[in-house]
Amino acid sequence: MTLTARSAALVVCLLAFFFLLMSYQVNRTRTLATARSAVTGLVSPFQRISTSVIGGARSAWSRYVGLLGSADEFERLRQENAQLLRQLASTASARHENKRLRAMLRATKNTPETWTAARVVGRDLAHRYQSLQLDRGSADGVGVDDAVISPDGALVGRVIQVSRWTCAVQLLTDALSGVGARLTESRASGLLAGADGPLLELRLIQTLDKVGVGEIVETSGEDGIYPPGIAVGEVTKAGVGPALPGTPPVTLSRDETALFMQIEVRPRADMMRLEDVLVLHRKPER
Amino acid sequence: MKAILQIVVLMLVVGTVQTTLTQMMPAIGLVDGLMLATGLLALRHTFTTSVLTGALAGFVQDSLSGGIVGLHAFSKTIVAALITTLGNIIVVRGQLAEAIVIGTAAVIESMIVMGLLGFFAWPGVEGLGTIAARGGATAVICGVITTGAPRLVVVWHSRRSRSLLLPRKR
Repeated sequence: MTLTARSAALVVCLLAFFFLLMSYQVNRTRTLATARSAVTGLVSPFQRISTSVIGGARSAWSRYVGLLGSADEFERLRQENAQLLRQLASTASARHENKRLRAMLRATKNTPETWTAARVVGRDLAHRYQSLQLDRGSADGVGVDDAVISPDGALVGRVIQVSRWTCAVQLLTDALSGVGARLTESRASGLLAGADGPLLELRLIQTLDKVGVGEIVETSGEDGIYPPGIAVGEVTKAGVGPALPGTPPVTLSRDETALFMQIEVRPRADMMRLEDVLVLHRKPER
Repeated sequence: MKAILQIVVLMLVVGTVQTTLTQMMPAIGLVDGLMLATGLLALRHTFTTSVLTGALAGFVQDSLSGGIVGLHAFSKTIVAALITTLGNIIVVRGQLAEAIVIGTAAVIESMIVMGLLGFFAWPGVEGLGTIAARGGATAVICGVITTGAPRLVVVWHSRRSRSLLLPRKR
């Protein structure tokens, strides 16, 4: 076989192999975890080091620049701290009551008891999927389908792949993401799907339900992955058919022909600025 | 074998650096660092090495992106083959020529990926504007890189490994 024929054969073999690999993953919820883990396992130590080095350099620079406005910042933080302390005092009793009611309702079955703090060390390399890489893996107790939240308690996504030292997180905004969600006021449940952009779509909410712009969306727990009651975002648009720009609270009459509303939700967590997150460990199946 | 090993290490380093920098500055994600490395190496190596480099770069990208394994490996294999073939037909020398070739390659790769996503009915198909921006950004960064210090690394690597591989030009 000549060099050209051999080269062509190599290309054809490689392409056929990759095509079969992709075909294998069609309609499968999880892609080739072993092959992927081999690469992420190899690069994770370097990722940790580079994140530390770059983060350290950035932090040193920002501290130096931050000194310029530190007096104003200090005063603002002092006032904010006083305000937060007042809020904390008022929420302590509510928290106690909440805990008592939870115990009474035995509603803790799906609530994770343990969590792990993790740092974001990387982002989707292809710039096509909405995913993150964290510096925690199976060695830290992280497992597939663990929910990931931001430090202020907003839902970020779920773990889709775990290696020993790192894990990959599918963000809510990924086009393949789906979350069982509920509107906090109307209590209507639906499916919150990623739209491959900064916003989310809340589907399967009937046109008979009343949905207001600004209404909070939380997890319903019906998907069996995310614990219920985690804040996800708020409604920014609601309507029937094409999304209506700047729609006020919508109440639809019963003679509408459409079955479901089109609801746009802005996630509470800022996906582009996440640096630290919490991984909620799932309870083992009983 | 040694050259292949060096390319493996190079691709892992490029992938690691890019995924880390993308976390720090999301705009960097628009530049396909692995495409850049694949293109620069493909213009300096034999057909076989280039194709393997493209496949490897794509596999690293798929592994670090949390998406479908094989998607970028497929597209980068084709693009690496195209670049080397083009390099054998016409003379691609100078920063501008390399930047144009690699920028165009980035656009072609995006279109192949779009075609595959459409074929398998996977979501995530991009608009033409994003694809053009990706190609443009990659071409600009390619121009910067080929005039800067990192070029020395690629050239040094190519010279070192050339003795182990079939020369492209005589």
